[in-house]
Amino acid sequence: MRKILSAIPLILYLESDRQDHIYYLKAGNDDDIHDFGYIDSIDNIDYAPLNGWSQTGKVEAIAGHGYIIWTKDNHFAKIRINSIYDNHIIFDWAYQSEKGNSELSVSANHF
Amino acid sequence: MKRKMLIPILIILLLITGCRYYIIDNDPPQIPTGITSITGDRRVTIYWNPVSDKDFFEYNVYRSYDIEGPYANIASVRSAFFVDHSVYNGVTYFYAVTSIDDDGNESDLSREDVFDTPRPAGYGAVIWDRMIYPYDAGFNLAIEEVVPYNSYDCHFYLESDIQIYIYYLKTGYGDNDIQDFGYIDSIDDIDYAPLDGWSQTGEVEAITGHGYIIWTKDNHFAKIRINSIYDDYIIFDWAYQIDTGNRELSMSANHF
Repeated sequence: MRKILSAIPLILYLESDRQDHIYYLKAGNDDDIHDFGYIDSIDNIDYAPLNGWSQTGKVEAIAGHGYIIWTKDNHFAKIRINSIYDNHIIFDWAYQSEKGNSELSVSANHF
Repeated sequence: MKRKMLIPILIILLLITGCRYYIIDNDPPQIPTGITSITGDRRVTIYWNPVSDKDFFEYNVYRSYDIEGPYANIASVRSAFFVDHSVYNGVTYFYAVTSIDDDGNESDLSREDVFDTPRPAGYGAVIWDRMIYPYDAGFNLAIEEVVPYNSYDCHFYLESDIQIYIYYLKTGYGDNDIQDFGYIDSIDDIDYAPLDGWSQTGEVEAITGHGYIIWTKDNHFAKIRINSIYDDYIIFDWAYQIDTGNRELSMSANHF
């Protein structure tokens, strides 16, 4: 589940403000991103919301925060940043391979 | 003649009623479970699972200032909820519930330890873009007022990037903190402020429907939810915990 962020091209990438050592997650062109807030585990994100996407496509990378991605080809995904280091982050992720399905967790699958 | 007939009738009645016996019920009804509290502004709502005893009569609600007690009876109710209006914001109260049957037997106090700290809240507050209205851009949660964005009292303020019409919430003067809580249906969806996850930049994008948590420089926690964003202002709901260091912000079970 752990992967270096730069290994997922096109959907999002990591960028730093070198002066302040602040990191940002940026969505790729026409992808959307959403800060889900602080969570204990990536499993705390069970559904992608319909609303609340960033207009800038850029969110501050914060250890412990979860983020939801909506790809331009209509797939939803989630990540949780576990750690932030000098020039990289470590995160968990999950990707819904079924197009348009906003369900993102191993849950009861209630309809 | 009538008198002669009356005596046997009275004897028969006496025999019938005299043979009737009563069961003395000393068994208390079930102890209420599932006690949950909802934090409000000068109000705490307590609710629980109804007991199923056939001879149930009512519940007694008890309150204490300490988990160990003593617990004082503050109300008797028939329904499985109670709204405590006799509370002060910023004070922590501990609650317990008993059930009583028709014979006056009372159960033990509910075993869940439930506490709540009511706090002020507001709905439909407005702050303006500091690029245009700097004196009406900030908000102080403790005094519940709009303040200048650069005043010492400002906990957070609104600022736009005029070129692209994006708004940001920024923390006010001093060591205030903010973090995005994500999209929520209601401000009540935020129940606790987390210990970690605060923005290092002190600014977050203002997004309609998103909740945000504030940690003020004097160690109070608060939450807001943006209801609407307009050309140069936002409308938001908020709640502020006046009990220093208490991260409780909304409806929760508050169980230990």
